[in-house]
Amino acid sequence: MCSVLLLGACELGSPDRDAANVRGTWAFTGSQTAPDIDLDGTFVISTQDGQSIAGTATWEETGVGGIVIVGGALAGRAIGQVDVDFDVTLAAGTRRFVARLAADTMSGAWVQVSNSTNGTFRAVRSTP
Amino acid sequence: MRLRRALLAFALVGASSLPATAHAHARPDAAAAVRRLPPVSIAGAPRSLVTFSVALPAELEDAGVVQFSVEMRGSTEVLGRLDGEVGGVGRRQVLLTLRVPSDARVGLLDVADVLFRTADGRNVIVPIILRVPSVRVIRVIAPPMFQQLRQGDRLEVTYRVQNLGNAVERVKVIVDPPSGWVLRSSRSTTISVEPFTTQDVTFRVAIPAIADGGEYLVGTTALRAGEGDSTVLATASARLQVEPRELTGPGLELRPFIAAAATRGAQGVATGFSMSGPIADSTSLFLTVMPISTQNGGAGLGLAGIGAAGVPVQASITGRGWNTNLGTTSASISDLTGLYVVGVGAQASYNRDGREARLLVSKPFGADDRGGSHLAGGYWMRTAYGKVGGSISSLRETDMGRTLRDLTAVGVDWQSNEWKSWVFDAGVAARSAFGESGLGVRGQVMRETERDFVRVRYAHAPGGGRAFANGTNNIEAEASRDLTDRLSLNGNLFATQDESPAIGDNRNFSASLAQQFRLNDVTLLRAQVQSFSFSTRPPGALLGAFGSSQTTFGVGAGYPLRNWTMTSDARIGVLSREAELFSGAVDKQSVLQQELEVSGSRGVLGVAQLSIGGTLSLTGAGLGIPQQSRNGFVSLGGIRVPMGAERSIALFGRVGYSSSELQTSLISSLVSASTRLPGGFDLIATVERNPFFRDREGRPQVIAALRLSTSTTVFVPQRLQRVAGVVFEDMNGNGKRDEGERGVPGVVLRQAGIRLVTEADGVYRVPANVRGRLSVDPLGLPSGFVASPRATQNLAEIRDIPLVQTGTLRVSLALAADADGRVPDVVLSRTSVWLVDAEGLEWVGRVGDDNVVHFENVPTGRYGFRFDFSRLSEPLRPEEGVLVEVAPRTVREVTVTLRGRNVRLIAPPNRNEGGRGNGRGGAGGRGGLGGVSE
Repeated sequence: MCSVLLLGACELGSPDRDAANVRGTWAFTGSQTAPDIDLDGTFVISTQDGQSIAGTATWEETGVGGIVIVGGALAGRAIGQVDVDFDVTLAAGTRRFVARLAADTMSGAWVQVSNSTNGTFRAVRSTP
Repeated sequence: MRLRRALLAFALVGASSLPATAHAHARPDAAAAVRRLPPVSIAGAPRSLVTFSVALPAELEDAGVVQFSVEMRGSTEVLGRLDGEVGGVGRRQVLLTLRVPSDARVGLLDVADVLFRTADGRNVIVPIILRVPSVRVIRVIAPPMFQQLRQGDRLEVTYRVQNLGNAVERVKVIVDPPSGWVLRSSRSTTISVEPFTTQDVTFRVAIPAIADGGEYLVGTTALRAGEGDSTVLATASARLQVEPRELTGPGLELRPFIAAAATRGAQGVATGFSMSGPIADSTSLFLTVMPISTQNGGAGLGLAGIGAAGVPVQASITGRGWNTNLGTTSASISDLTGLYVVGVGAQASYNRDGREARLLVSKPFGADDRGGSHLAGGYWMRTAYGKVGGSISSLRETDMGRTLRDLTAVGVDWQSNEWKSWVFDAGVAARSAFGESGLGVRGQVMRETERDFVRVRYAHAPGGGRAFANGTNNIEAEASRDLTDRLSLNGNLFATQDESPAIGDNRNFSASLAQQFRLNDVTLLRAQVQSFSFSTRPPGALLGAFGSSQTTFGVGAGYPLRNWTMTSDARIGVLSREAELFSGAVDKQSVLQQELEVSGSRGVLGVAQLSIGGTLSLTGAGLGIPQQSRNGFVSLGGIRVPMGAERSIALFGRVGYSSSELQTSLISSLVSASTRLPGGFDLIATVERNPFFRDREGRPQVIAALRLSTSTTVFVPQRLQRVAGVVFEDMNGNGKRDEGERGVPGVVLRQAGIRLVTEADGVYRVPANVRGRLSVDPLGLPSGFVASPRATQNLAEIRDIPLVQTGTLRVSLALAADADGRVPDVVLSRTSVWLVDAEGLEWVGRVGDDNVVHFENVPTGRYGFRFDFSRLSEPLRPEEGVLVEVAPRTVREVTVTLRGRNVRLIAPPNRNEGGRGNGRGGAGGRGGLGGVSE
């Protein structure tokens, strides 16, 4: 398909090879600043191929307007044994999560450019 | 007709040549002895018969009997005796009649020469000239009524300008849309209209998004151009029916509900209610009480999806120019003294008569153990120098006794009055945030016209987004311009830097430039260049900085394809990311990304809307996101399955598909159904399978949810008490409801923003304060009924509205021969025919090429006819006293015979040219008057 569509989707970077295993179900909590919103949900990382990870993410946002439940496909990378960087594709845009791993806990920050929101989160693996 | 005229002219020339043979000097122009006198000028309007006499020239008075002959010089018919003798002891003048053509243009026309010949060889010609006066008649015809329009619609209104006169007219046409409507074309246009022709003039208007439902008039005025544009020639108005924005409730409505949702391993039940509607003459209440869903995952999602989970308690009371709100609050005081602070409490606003005020008291939103308070207020007033005022805000937020935020801001604001479409806005505030004090400033320049929009704003707010502001430094620039009616450009630039101990350091930048070209009403081309980037350094030492940027070029189109309305977009760009890793190294990746997106929708059998769409995305390796991802969806909505005579089930279905090389195909599906149950209950049910929503164990959710609700009026303010009326079948057509005349259910009535439907017995109820006449929506009438014409003529407010049954009448127009055997040679389809009822009301018919006039769905009753033959080449005479009866739900066919107009032709006593005499007699039989008077 790379050759079918225009110039093709060609690799310009170089990924690491040994990455932490992050497969499993992660219960996560987080927050958003301005306006304040609490996040509570689940990451399900069902696939990992080297660095590449994929799955789904679902969470509830409790804030102004009550409770909103959002979810979408998750895809990204585990970079080495400590760093995780992935996107969740939501109806309203893509939200990028960057975190550091410590055993079965990842802690980090997220940014969604489409609505200029950001915040922090923490996820704990419940099932591998 | 032209052939007939040519034959006639040939016959006349041939006839006139006969005496020329007998008399050698009969070609007057060729004869040297011919004397030509000044012309006799006759005035005659188009489509008139003008009788006049040509006197024997004085110089021939002594000649005794004089021969005369009339020779045509143009196409104008001359009736009467065209040769013979005058003088002597007989008449001393020639009596003639002109038939002025209906399409005669203004000016002078050579009609004929009258040649007088004496026995002694003298020849005198008297030319006859017709002076056609100017007839200046302009008619403007508005288009048929536009119906079922929506707020935001754009439409073209085409008026037909008819020049019924005989002179070229320059007409200035000016359109006058309703107040507040935007005209998308020039307000006026000047056209030149040839006599007896028609030209179309089109204006484009946009219906404001805030327009109320109802009927609007888009008027147009035709002025005579070049005369100071002050002479009004004609006016016309197009009628536009705009659907109501929302149905107005007659009182305070209570809507309780009970709902349940279930998914694998979890169930949830919710109850709640909402109340909305007027509680006084100009005051309304809105209240919702809903539970907080304690069901994580699917059950809560199912409840939220059917409107059974949301804000726990929210109430607002709105009056004329003021509003109070209890429950969740969101501060919106000003850019420098209060944005984005969410809490629970009360807020109020007032905006009336140039004065504006806001007040807020709340507890910052957060976990149960979070405390603090937020107090804010502001007051602004309109003065001769613009709007001036100030605001103050104070927030203290704690969490388990620890201070999270302690903010104070005091600011003043000024906004200029509008100056040549420009508005300037500025403010300054003293701010104390996170232990530091500083001065915040903001400014904005904005200009908005019909075709242009530009806005530039800047704000500097120390403390940033967690301290009442959009960011620490914020620049926004937006501009758009409609270069032509079809081509538009728009661009924007946003740059924000937000820095504080609470959020670290965030930087966002985006810019785009887009061009849009509208080929026609349905085809649109667009191109866009877009770039954005962000970088963030979260607070604390846990994470390093990370960010990304993307620059994309895209082209797209919206277009019709058979019965589909399609949109397609193709994008290509470079996506870059970087992140500071735990090791201190910077991970940076850049890939090409290409996307192709196609979607379309169409109606299905007039009862459903089918939509499909798909996206193919190719991304380079390295970011970890899928290199090939495919998404698609199919949805079918708007389906209404009838359940008996008065109920139906509305259905909606959607299937989504997503796959990539990183995960197996994900298929989501949703089916929902809603219906009204007996007893006034509403039921909505949904079943959804969504692999993107997973439970705590990571399993895809299959969610079933059901909501049962009802609605009842619990309070009606005294001035809003309802009164009832009835829509009934007026069987005897007297406009009053007599015994045995049944009510008609399902009839839609409208007035302003109100839409009512009659109940099973034909009864409807309307708030008592709604005054004025209700109109019957023709689209909401049962088949075979129309509003009684008697009632529609009555402008008084009536509550009992009569309907009458209808029938169809087809009238065949047939030409019949006159007594002399001649059949008029006319195009019958140009005849206009009206039915006239006993009240004198008229119905216009639709004339087909088969000379059959169709009157479809006219009220039952007895009718006479009215005809207009003005567009025919000669007037006709209909049968007199013809009456027809239209019976309910029948199609009646009748024939009306039309004859030529009666003309009495008196033949000369000594006619010696039999052929000619017959010819003239034929002409006279078409309705002319003429002949030599005896």
